[in-house]
Amino acid sequence: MRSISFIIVLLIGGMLACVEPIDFEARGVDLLVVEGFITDEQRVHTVRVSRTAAYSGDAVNGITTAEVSVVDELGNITCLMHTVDGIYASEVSFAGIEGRTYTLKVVTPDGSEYRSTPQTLQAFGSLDSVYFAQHEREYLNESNNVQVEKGIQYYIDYSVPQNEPAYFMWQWEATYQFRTRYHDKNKPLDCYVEENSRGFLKVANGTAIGDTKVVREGFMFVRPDYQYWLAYSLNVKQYSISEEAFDFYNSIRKQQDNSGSIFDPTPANSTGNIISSSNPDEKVLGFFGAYGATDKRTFVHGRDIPNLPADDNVVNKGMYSFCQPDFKGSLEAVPDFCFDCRLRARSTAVVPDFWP
Amino acid sequence: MQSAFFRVFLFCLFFVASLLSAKAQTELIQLDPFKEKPLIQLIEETEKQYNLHYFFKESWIKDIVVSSPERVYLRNILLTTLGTYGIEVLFRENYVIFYIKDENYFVDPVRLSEEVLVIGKDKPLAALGKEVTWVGTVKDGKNQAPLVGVNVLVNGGEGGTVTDSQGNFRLVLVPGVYEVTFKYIGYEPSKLKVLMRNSGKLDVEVFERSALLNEVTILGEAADQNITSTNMGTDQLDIGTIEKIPAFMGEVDVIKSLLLLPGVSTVGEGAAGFNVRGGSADQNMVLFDQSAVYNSSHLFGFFSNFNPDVVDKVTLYKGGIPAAYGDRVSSVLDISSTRLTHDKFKLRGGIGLVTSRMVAEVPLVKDKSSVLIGGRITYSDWLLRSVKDLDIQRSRASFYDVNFKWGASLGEKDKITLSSYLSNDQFKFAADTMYRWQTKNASLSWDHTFNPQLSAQVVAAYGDYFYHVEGLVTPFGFELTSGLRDMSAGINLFYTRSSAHVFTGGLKLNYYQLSPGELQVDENNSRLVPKQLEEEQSREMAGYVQHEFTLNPKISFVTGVRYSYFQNMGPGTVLRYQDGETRQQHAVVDTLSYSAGEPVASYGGFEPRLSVKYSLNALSALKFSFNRIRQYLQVISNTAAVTPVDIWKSSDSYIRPLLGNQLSVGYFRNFKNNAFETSAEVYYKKLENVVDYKDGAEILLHNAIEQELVVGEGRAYGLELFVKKKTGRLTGWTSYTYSRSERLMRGPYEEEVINNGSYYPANFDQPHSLSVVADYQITRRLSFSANFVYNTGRPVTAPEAKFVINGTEVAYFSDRNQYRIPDYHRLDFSFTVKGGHRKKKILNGDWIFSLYNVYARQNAYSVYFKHVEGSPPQAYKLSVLGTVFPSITYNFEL
Repeated sequence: MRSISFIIVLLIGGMLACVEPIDFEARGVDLLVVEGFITDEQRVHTVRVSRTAAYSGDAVNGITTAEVSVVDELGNITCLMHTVDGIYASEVSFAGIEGRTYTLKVVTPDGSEYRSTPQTLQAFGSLDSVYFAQHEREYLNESNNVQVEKGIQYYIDYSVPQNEPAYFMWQWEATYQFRTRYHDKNKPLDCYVEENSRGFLKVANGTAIGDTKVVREGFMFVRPDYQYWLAYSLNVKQYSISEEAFDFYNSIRKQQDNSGSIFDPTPANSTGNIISSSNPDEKVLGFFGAYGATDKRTFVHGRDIPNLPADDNVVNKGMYSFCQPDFKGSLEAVPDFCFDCRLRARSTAVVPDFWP
Repeated sequence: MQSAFFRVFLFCLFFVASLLSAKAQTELIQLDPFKEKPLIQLIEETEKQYNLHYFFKESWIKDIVVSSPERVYLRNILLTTLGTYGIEVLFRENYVIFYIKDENYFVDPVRLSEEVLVIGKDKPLAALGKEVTWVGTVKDGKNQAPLVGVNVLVNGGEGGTVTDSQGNFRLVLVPGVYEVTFKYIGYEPSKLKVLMRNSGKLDVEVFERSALLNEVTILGEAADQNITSTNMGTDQLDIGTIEKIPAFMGEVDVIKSLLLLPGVSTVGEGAAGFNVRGGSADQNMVLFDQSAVYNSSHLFGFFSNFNPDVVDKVTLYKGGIPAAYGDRVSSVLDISSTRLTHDKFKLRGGIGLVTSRMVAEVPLVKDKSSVLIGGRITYSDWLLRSVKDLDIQRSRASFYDVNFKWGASLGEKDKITLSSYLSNDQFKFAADTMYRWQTKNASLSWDHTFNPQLSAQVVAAYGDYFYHVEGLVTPFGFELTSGLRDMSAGINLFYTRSSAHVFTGGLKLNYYQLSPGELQVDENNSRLVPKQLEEEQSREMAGYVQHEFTLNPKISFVTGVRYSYFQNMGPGTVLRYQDGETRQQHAVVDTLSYSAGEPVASYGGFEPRLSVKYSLNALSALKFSFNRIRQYLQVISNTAAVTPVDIWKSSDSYIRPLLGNQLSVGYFRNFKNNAFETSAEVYYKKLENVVDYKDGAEILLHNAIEQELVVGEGRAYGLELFVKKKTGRLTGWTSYTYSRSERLMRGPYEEEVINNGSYYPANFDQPHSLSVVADYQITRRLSFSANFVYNTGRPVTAPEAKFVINGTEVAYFSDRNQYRIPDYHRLDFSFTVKGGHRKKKILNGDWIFSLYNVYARQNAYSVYFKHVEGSPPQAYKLSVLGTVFPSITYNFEL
C-alpha cells in the first residue's frame, strides 16, 4: 500500500521540486553501537563494535580493542577477534543450533560490560526459488520527460509457516565473472568477483499474509552494468528472525522512508537489544540476533539479456569502459585489474563450486 | 482633517468676505426643479450661471447627491443638504463658503459609508452645549409592533435608556455625532450613527435575528462590540472580509483566512486543519449551520471545502466559549450559510483557475419560503500535470461540494430551515491507489417565538465523514474504509427577563457511530489478509444554562455551566492487561465482551464557564474568562498535519476524555470613535489526558490502539496583541501572538515516557507569529489588498548522530521536537475590480487578480535528513509553493 504521506510529498514537493540542502546545527552525541548476528549456517560470524559518528561526518568509528564473545545457554563461549574497522569475527566457522539461546557480551576498552538480551535461534519458513525477468520501468528525467529504463527484476517465492508469528529478513550476495581485458597467457582470463547487499534492507511480517506460499514477490530491480556482461550469480539469503528483530529492522526501514514531512510520523529511534551491565540507563544502539538462514541462487548470463547491459560503463565489443585507453591511446591511467583480473577487490581466479 | 493652513485660509476668506458690505444677491438665487445630481455638479453649474465662487474641501461633499422636485432657493438647498453633514454655509456677495463650525457636528461622508440619521433635520443647528432631545419608538421592523425593554446605548454605554411599555424612548444629549445601539434579545443589534442637530422625533426599527433584513439600515455588529460585549477570545469574519484576503490560486478560503487572526496557526502551507491557542487540529469544533464537520478540506488540505458563495459569517471562539458549545477543548468555528431572504431570484458564482462555483436562490412562495442550491467543482488536473513527478502526472484529482438549503417562515412566530451539505474528493494516485473521502452534513431547525421575551429553537443534525482507499495493484488489491457518523437532536431556549438578565439553556443528545477501519480484500485476487476493527458506538447527553447579567453599565457577567455525560457502548470487546505491566500484546490476560447497548466506559462532568466585563470608560474595558470543556472524540494520527485518512476514536476504557481548562484576561480599547480597535489578551490553557504516540507507533488498523499511545498532559499559554482599523479607505488589522504549546508524557513505564518526562514542544508550537492584513479602497470600484505573515518554524526531531546497521547508515534522532525548521514569512497582494454598480445592469461582475507569495520566499515546508549514496548525509529543506503564484478569478452576481 502506498502511504499517503508519500503521495502528498510527491504532490506538493513535485509542484515546485524545490529541495535544497540547508545547514542544520544539531548537538552531537557519542554512543556505543553493537550490531551483528549469528545463523545456523556453518561459517565465520561477525559482529561490529563502534561508536556513533557525526551525522554529516565520516562513516563509522570502529572500536578495535573490545572483548567480544557469544555465550549460549549452556555456557559455551565463542570468542570473536578484531579484524578491521571494529569488525570482530569468530576464529573458526561455527553454526548456531536451532532452539538454543545466545547472548552477545562486549567489554569495551574502558572495562564497561554490555550484553544483548538472550536470543533464541528459530528456523522456519523456506526460500523456494529465486528468478528474474527483464523489466521496463518508467521514470522522469531532469527535464521532466518520461524515460524508460530497462533492467532486471528479481523475484522470490517463499513459504511461511501458518498460524504462528513469522518474520523474515533478506540479504543478498553475488558473484560475477570479470574478464582480463589485456590478457596474456601468464595470467588468468576470467575471475569471479563478489559483491554484497550493503545498504539493502528488506523485511516482511509473514503473519500478515494469508497464504503459506508467497509467489513472485518483487525482490529488487537492477539496471545491469558491466557486472552482467558475462555472467552474474545472485544468492538471496532469507533469515527467519524474531519479532523483536523485525521491529528493529523495520523501524530502520521506516526511518529511511520518512521524508520528514508533516504527513510523516515523528521520526523515532530504533530500540535495540544491547544493554549496559553497569549502567542500565546508558543508551546503547544496535542489535544482536540469532537467525535461521536459507538461501537460493540464480544465474543471469549476459547472452540471456541481449539488449542489456546498455549503460555507459559498459562498452560494446567486449570492452569495459574503464579499461579503455585514453584519447592519446595511452594505457597509463588504466587500472591494473584490466591487465590481471585477480587484482580487482574481492576477486579470485578459482571457479566457485556453484558456477555452472 | 483639515490642515492648519486650510483653517488660516478659511479665516482669511471670512475676513475678506465680511468686508464686502453690499447686500447679498446670492441668497435670492432660485433654481428650477431638478432630478438627482451630484452636489458638485450643481456647484459647477451655478458657479457659471451666476458667477459664484465656492470655497470648500472637495472630500467633504464628494458623495452628496441633491434633488428638488420644486423650485427652490439655492441657499436653502445648500443649508439643508450640507447641514445634514455638519457643514455650515456662509454667503457673502458672490462668495459661497462651506465650513465646519465644530468637529463634533461634522460627518465626513468619505469616512462614513454608513447611513447617518439626523435628528432635528428641519431645524437650525442648536447652540453648542445646549441640551436637545430625541424621542422615538422602537418597532419590530417586520410587523411594526412596538418593543418593550429595548436597550438604548449611547456610545457603547456612556449613557442610555430603555424603551417603556409603549416602546418609546427619550434621549437627552448635547448636539454632536453619536453611536446609538438598540439591543433586544432575539433581534439583530442595530447600531446607528446619529447626528443630533436639534430636538426631534424619529422611530427606529429593529429586526428579528435571521429574519428578512433590510440591507441599508442594519449595520451588522455594533462598532464597539469588542468593548461593550462580555465576550472575549472571539473573532468574527464576514465573507466580504474573507473575499478580500489574497488567496492561493484565487480560491477564497474560509478556513485559511482564520490563520491571519491572533492565536490561530497551521503546521504547514497547504496543510488541512488549524491550531488554536496551542491545541491540536482535532480540538476545533467546526460547525456548518449547527452540524459538526469532521473534515474540512479538499485535495489533502490545499483548499477548504466551504463554498464561499454559500457562507455568510464565520465566528471563531477561542476563549470564553459559551456554555451552549462543548465537545472540543480548543475552539468552536461556527460557520453560518447565506440567510435566505425569500424575496427574489438570485444567482451568483465565480470562475477561477482551480474551481468554478454557482449558487442560486429561488423563492418558492414570495416572502415565505425559498431554496438555495450551490455547487463547486474543480478542474485541477492541469495542476497535477505540471508536477515534476510521473506518478503525480498520471494521477487524477477531482472534488466537488454541493449545498442545498430550504427555509420557510410559518407565520410570524415560526421559521423552519433545512441545510445540507455534501463534499466529495477523489484522488487516483498513478494507476495503483484510489482515495475517496466524503463529508455529509444536514441540519433541520425550527425556531419558534412564544413572545418577545421567550423563544426556542429545536435542531436535529447529522454529520458524516468517510474515506475509502482502494489498492488497484494485483495481487495486492484491497479496500480500506474508515469513518464516523454523528447524529444529534437538541433544543435551545432564549429568555429575556429584562435587558439586564438574559437566560439561555438547552439540551442535546448525540449518537456517534465510528468505524475505525476495515480492510476488505478480494480473496481470489489478493494476498492481503482482510481485517475489520470493531465499530464503536457511543452516546452523549449534554445540558447547559447560561445567564447574561448586566449589573450596571460598567460590569456585566456571563455565567454558565454545561454538564455532559458520555457512554461508550457495546457490542465490543476490551482487552485486559496484566496488572503492573505496560499495555502490550504480550501482557493481554483476558478479553472482555460487551453486548449491544451495554456500557463499556462512561465519563461525565460539569463544565463551568464564566466571563466578566468591566468597562473602565466608554472606550475601554477589562475582561476575564474561564472555560472548561470535555472532549470525547479524538483523532488518532501521529503525523503533524491533518490528513484525509485520519481516524476518529471515541473515549473508551483506556482513552479517557480530553479535558481542557482555559483562563484568559484581556484589555480592550477603542480609539477615534471606534475606528480603531485594540486588544491585548493573555491566556493559559491546561489539557489533561492528551495522547501522544510511542516511538514507531503503528496506528493503522490496530485493534488495540491503546498499545501504541501514551497519555499525559499539555499546557499552552500566550499573549495576543491586536489592532484593527475598521473604517475609512484603509482598513485591516495587525496581530502579534506569542504562544507556547507543550506536552508532558510521564507514564509509569519506560516506553510511556517521552523526552525523559520533561515538557517538550507540541508539533505546532510556534512562539512568534505576526500578521498584517490591509485593504485600501482606491476608488469605489478598485481596491488593493495585501497581507503579510510571519511565524517561527515548527519543531522537528533531528538526527544528532549516525551509525551503521547491515551496511545501512541509520540516523540517531534527538529527543522529540528539539529543533525547528526555518521561520516562515510571506507577502500576498490582490486587486479587486468591481463591476459598475448601476442598478439596471443585469450581470454584476468582479475581477480579482492576486499574487500569492509576492517575493517568492522559499519557505521550509519541512526539513528532512537524507543519505544520498556517495555523499555524507545532509539536511534538506523542502519548499512548497516556493514561488510567486499569480491567479485570476471572476465572480458574478445576477
